[in-house]
Amino acid sequence: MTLSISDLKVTIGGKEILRGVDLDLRPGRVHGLAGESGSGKTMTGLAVLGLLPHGARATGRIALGERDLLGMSAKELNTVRGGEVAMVFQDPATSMHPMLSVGRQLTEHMRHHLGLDRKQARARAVELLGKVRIPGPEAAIDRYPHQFSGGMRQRIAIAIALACSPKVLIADEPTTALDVTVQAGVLRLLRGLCDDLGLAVLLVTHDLGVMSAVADEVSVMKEGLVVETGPRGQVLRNPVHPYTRALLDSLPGETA
Amino acid sequence: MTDRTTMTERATLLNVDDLVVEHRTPGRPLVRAVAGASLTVSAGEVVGLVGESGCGKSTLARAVCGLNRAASGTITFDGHPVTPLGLRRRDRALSGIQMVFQDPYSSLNPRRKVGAQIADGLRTAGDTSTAPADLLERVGLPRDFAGRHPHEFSGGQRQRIAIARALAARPSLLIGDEPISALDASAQAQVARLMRDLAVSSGAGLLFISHDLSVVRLIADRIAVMYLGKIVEVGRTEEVWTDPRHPYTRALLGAIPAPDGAGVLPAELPGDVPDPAAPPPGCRFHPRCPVAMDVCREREPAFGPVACWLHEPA
Repeated sequence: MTLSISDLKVTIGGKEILRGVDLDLRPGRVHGLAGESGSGKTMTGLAVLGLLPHGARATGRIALGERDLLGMSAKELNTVRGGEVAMVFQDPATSMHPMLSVGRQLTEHMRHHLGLDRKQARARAVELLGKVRIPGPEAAIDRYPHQFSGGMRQRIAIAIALACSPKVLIADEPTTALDVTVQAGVLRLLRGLCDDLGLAVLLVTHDLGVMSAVADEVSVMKEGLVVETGPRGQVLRNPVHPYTRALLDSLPGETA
Repeated sequence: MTDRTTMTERATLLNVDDLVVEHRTPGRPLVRAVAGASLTVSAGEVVGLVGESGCGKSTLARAVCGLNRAASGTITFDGHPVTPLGLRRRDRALSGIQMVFQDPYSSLNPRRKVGAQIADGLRTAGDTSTAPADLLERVGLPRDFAGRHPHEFSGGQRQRIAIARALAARPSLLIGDEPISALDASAQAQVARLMRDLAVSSGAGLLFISHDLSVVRLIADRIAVMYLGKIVEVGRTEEVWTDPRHPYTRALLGAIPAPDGAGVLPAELPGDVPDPAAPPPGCRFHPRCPVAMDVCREREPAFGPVACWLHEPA
């Protein structure tokens, strides 16, 4: 088990956002987290990285191997974030810095976490851009985010997240802003990376189609609680909880 | 206005004919973002324009609003040619075209109250009887939001405000340029439905541009599929959805994952979108097409509704 979340509770300003979440991520497995907006999916992801909004209080345990991420100091957490645990956000237009070249954003954390020199980092960045299928990676590395389309930007964001060979990848609606054809590619990429690198992926998405395509286990959240967890086939075909059934029933008919 | 012109209005509100739009950047090759696209939108009709990012959907929409200059081809709105927006006041006849932009974080003025921005639209239409708060109510927001500033709202709320502002000008054609892609996933379907309901109930046409096929399917009467500056297939939504004919449309629909729990990764379209500055000869889709024939490499299928040599009209 790579990452184990147990009894995670988050309160912001006296309001309970998460009310005891339990999740286990295993290497080489994609764990899908479904639920509607406001159910606490994103907060769960942010809690793992210690990126909760100001004034939030988190209790419980988030164990990465033997270490508890919730008990870590900011300094210790900085060695984990972007290194062992990485995140991909929904909107690549706002998650990337508009005034730094793609190369700068790809190499900065590599040099920090992996201790690579400028040349090595750049070589690895070019390799990563090729891996996420950015055409002409050697030229692309010196360009700025606004010079890429949304799909390309998200692929670059994934490259940035993968740069330091993380063990855990939190992907928060990573394909929502993408074209379906690009989405198919990104999902294959995520699945492939998960299988090849033994990455433990927490995939937060509202799209049950995406969930069905890549997730091994699926958890459904509602009002700060995980209401159902199980293997993909079981949760999506024979949901036990009425809320999961309602989610599935609300999908527009046949999608072939 | 005679009866005859009223009839033609009903038939087609917007007519885009063989439109070409080019982007010139110093030091870079000329990019033909829209390379001969034809499209019509009728009053009360919702047309969904879909395609991958970079295929020219937004450029087409911007040209319809006069924000991009047409290199050749014509755009007529309600019988008037659409002229590019310049320094002077926009032609009154064209204020019936209103656009909702992709990003409500940048399309609303952060320093002005929401009500004042909606009032701009009302002034354009010469409407003195409607209050901005009435429009907020129509888009499902409380009336007292009019006195607040954009930063106080979430993305979904802001986009509703942008829609209210566009509706204030009494448009007969509403254009949504990826109006839902900057929104939180769960707000997307809601806002898309809202746009459809508001446009159809006021008798206006809606040109809805999105890369999200499942949302377009929910709201559009007709779907136009665009690839590399050209419209490759147009048809009624159900027909396109159940029986896609162009290989590109098939690939697009095939890429949508089904929520069946089977764990099947969606089919990937091989190759990348070619550089629009140097499009391939013949059919623009042939390098990625699974059923490409010899004729596809040589001649461009310049016909509709399905621009594919497999579906050449007899």
